[in-house]
Amino acid sequence: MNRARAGMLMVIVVGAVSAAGQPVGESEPAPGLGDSIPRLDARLSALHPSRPHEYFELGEEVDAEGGIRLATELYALTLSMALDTGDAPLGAGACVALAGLAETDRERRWLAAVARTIDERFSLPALSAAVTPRVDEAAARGADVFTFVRAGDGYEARRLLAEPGVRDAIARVVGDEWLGRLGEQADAWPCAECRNRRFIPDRDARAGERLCPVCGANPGEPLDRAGLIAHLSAEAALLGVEPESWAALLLGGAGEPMHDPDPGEVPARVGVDPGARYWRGGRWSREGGP
Amino acid sequence: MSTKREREPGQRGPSPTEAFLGVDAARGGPFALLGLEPSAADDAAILDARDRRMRQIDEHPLAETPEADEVRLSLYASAAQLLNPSVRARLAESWGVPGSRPAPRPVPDPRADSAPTRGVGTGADAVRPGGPSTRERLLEHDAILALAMFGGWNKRSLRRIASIAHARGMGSGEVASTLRRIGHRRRPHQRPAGQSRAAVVARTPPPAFGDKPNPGSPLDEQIDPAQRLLKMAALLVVVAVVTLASLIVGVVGLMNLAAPNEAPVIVENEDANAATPPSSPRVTAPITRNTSRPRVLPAPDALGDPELVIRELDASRRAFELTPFEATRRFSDAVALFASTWVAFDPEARERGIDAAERFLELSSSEPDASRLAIDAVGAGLAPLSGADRGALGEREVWPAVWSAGMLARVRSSSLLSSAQRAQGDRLLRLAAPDLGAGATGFVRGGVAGARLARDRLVRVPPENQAWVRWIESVDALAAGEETVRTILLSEALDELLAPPAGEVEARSAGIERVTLALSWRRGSGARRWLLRTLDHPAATSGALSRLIGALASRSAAPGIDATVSLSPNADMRERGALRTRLERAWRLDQAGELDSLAGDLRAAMASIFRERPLRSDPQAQFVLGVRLALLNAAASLMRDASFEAAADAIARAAAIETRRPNRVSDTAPLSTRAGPDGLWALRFDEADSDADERISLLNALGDRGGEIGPVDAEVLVETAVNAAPRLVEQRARETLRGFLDTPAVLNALLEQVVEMPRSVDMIDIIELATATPISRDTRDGAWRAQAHRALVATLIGMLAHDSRWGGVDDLLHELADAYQLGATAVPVSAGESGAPAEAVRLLRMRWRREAHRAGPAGLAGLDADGIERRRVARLELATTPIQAFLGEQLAACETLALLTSSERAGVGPEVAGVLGTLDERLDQAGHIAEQIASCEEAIARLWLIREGLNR
Repeated sequence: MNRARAGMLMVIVVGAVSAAGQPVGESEPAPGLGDSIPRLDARLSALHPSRPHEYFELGEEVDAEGGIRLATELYALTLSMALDTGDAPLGAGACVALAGLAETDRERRWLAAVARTIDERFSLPALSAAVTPRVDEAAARGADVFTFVRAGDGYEARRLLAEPGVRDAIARVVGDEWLGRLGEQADAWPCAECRNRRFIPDRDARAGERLCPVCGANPGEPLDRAGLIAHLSAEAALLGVEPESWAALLLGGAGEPMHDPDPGEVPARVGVDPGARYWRGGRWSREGGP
Repeated sequence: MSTKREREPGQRGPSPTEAFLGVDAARGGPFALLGLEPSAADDAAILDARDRRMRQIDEHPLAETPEADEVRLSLYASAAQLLNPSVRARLAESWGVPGSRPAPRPVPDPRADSAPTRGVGTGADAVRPGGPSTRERLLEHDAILALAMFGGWNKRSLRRIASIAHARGMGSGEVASTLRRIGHRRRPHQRPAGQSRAAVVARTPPPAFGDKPNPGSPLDEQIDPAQRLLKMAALLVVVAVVTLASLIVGVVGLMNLAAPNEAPVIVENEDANAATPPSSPRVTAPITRNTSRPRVLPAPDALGDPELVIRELDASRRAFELTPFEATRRFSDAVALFASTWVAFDPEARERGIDAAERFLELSSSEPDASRLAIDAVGAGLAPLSGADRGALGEREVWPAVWSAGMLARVRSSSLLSSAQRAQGDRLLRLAAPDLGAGATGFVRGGVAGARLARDRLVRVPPENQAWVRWIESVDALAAGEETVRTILLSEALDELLAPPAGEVEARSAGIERVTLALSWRRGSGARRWLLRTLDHPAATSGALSRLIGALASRSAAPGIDATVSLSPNADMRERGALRTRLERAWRLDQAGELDSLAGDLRAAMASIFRERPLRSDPQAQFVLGVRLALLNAAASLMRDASFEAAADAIARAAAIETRRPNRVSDTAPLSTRAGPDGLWALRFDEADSDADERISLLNALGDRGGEIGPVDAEVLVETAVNAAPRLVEQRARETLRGFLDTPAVLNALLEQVVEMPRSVDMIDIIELATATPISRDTRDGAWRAQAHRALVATLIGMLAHDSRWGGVDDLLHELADAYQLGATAVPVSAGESGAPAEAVRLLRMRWRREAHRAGPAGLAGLDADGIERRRVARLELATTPIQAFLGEQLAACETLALLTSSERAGVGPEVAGVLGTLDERLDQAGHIAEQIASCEEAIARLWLIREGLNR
């Protein structure tokens, strides 16, 4: 899920950057926003880069009324202007505000780290309590689903998946693509031939048994090493386990490049053209004329 | 346990010991119980006797009863007592061999499997064909001691056993078979349902010191008389200890009387420098935790006997089990003596002393209060560096400060000590050195850190103070002949001394002269190049340099320097440059020499790697490239320190690393690589459904076969071990399982069972053994299951990863950490001592930051130390894995080197900015974190080339 959103975000970013110089962003205020914030359009039009605090303050009002996109634009512009003027507290405050609007924990953490690079007083620990998920009971039960699937206990796996919060926990921690896969794997078991007994009567020998020809006496989702590692890595994430071995981490998908917390990248990352600072004709524009 | 009073008045019938082993066995004492003559008891005889008695019980018709278990436990306890030579000697005296002394305990040679060993494996004791090997028997011996020492099968005993086995190079198979054998002897047959009292007793940890008796405690008459005997013996020991301690104090006092100017003063809770007159020694008061100053200390000249210190430490350990606090007091006195005299020890004796202290601490972990006092005593030498008073160190405080730092670094990284002990060591160390990284592990590295701390408190000591002399002696002891280490530490001290605030040159002159004269100025020494660099360095004042040159010219025998060499206190940089040229010529350092040759090798090696540039789709090769560059960067650092040999070695190490690491096992391979079909054993086992004997026979056959096991066989084995009837089969399956715990198939099978596994202490033991992770035994909640689940997942992933295409990464991690460690300190790293790579990077960055601070403002806009620090902290907060944490530290190190380089060399700002700009682009474009690590390492290499002027 995170990766999918990140991919969508990248599309937005590329689009925004390529359209630099043109009015960009969702220009129209959200429906109803004009009702709750009097004279919103006029106030937006009155904003001027020489008074970046006003962008931030209006962003807070819009944010409080649920205008997420417009608030994002106002905060991102505030940051951009604060970087230009060297106003570290304002820039860091804008980053923190953006972190509050981020859709993913990863994005929130990145924005909080950016705030920290601008002003050291904005350290993550104070913020992270709100943004860092704890390993909870539902996530632990989600890990059990993986175990049951590997053991071929489809009944238990399905029962757990039906428990409140388990599906959400799996989707949140390891991505919702796992939900479909786990559902299919749970449905495939127990073994239709031996019912997970591993052995079936050997009719040819009239007495004795033989290995189940369907599951090979090994009920559960058949996994090669790569598949097993992927399964275990997801299970580890749900359990909050962080392997110490770098090899294990890299196998588990920790090889993604680290995105340096660079304040200059924030506007593009949230899909805002930092040069378009004037609200004209219901859109952000680089031109400040009437 | 067998006792003199085993049959109480009124008791009917024979005692259990009598019933199982006969009247003679119950006549009293551990020797009788084991059927041993006190005069003939050695380790091998004790073990054989115990085994003989166990077989005797096993063959008894009532072998399955709790009474039998009780006698078995008595046998184990008695054997454990007698295996301790000191206890054995005292018991022998009590039971008929007056004057018996403990024989020196033979040191087992792990390599001597077949070699005759005293008491084991010879004559009547020879290892039986098919029986355990000598080293397995030795491990068994020590395992029993560990079990007895730590109260049965628990985390600490397992860790202790694993440490011993690891130290002897024994594989997990041998460990498992040894433990299986112990377990088998303990419980040879099926027992009726429920846990025996003996088993419960075996698992009960000893009461904490100071615990009040609880209602479940045995009545006085129930206490084992052998224990009572031991306690009486202990009292005698205490008396002996007190007497010996008095003798030591007396001897030390006499030594001090003989040297009145160096009188020892034993002081607590007082300022040793200021308050206590040196002529009024006092006997030590009881240990308190809030010691603000260390005990001081026999004068450094009145050196203690290393063997006395080691004997005292060993004796403290032996006394600990009986009288923990008395033993801790004795230990504290011994470490105070050690800390104040260690410089005089040869390295081998010093290491033995450190080992002895560590062993005491290991044992003391069973008594947390005593342990805390003991570690406080170890850290007492750092007290003058930890307090708010940041005055100069007294001369008698230098050696203890360095020793305490070294010892605490050892404590905080010791695998033998508990996490609480390690944490306490870490806390005490950080009180004195808040910036000290976790990479400072082991005595030498901790000592080096302590020496640096102490140095900073010596810069203004008055001339009459001998603290610099003591400090230089500490450095010599730490360096132990490593000239490079010595030169670095001494030249760092001069770096500090030569940059005094205005008007402080005079106050530092004594230190400048002492350290200058301590440096080696002979040909090949790094001191010569250091001085030439320093003459160019504006941070070193001419006033301070003139003192150095004066000392060198008038009081040293430095070749090429005579009385005509001088430097005016007001010399400008041109005059200093002239002196530099003169010294270059005198020392023939202006010609292309070793440095140029090495620099050429380094530049060529770097250029070669720059050209390689592996495919972006090959992150393994990217990682290898990063490690090779890190070693070359370490070589550059070592060259700057004039450690030419070490630099050449680092270049060679970089070249020796293969570009690619082959896949070990294909990712599509099945879990088992065992030859032959999987599942046939499981099929036969299933067919033997109701025949317990046949099933046991099949389990025995599987255990005898050993080696790899397939997933089907593994799952059936684990299912049987978890829950099978009859319990005899279940028990045998658990024993068999212990032999396969290092196989992925069994780990996976345990994992599949863990979610629904009924709680069983045996199974928790097995999971602990398989994962080397402690698991809770608390029955009140399900914590044990979650812990077991997590431990199994982590262990299985690690096991699979080690055999995967990334397996080589873990092998290379120590190279990476070593490279940064060498760059940071030039201190050679012992195998296994290099800490986490991120920590090693941090050390190097801090060194560069110090150097940059001295070098002055950066010649590069937008780059400053505060900004680097802010970005570093932000990256670390963002990091969710140790790999990202490493990269965060690595990037900060790179930026710090850029800062340093642009500060040191005028006009290189644009080149440095170009390197950082390229790095930014590559970080953004990288497809894998390994590529980012390699890119950062390349940027550091390019900065080194700029710094050394090798980029043109």
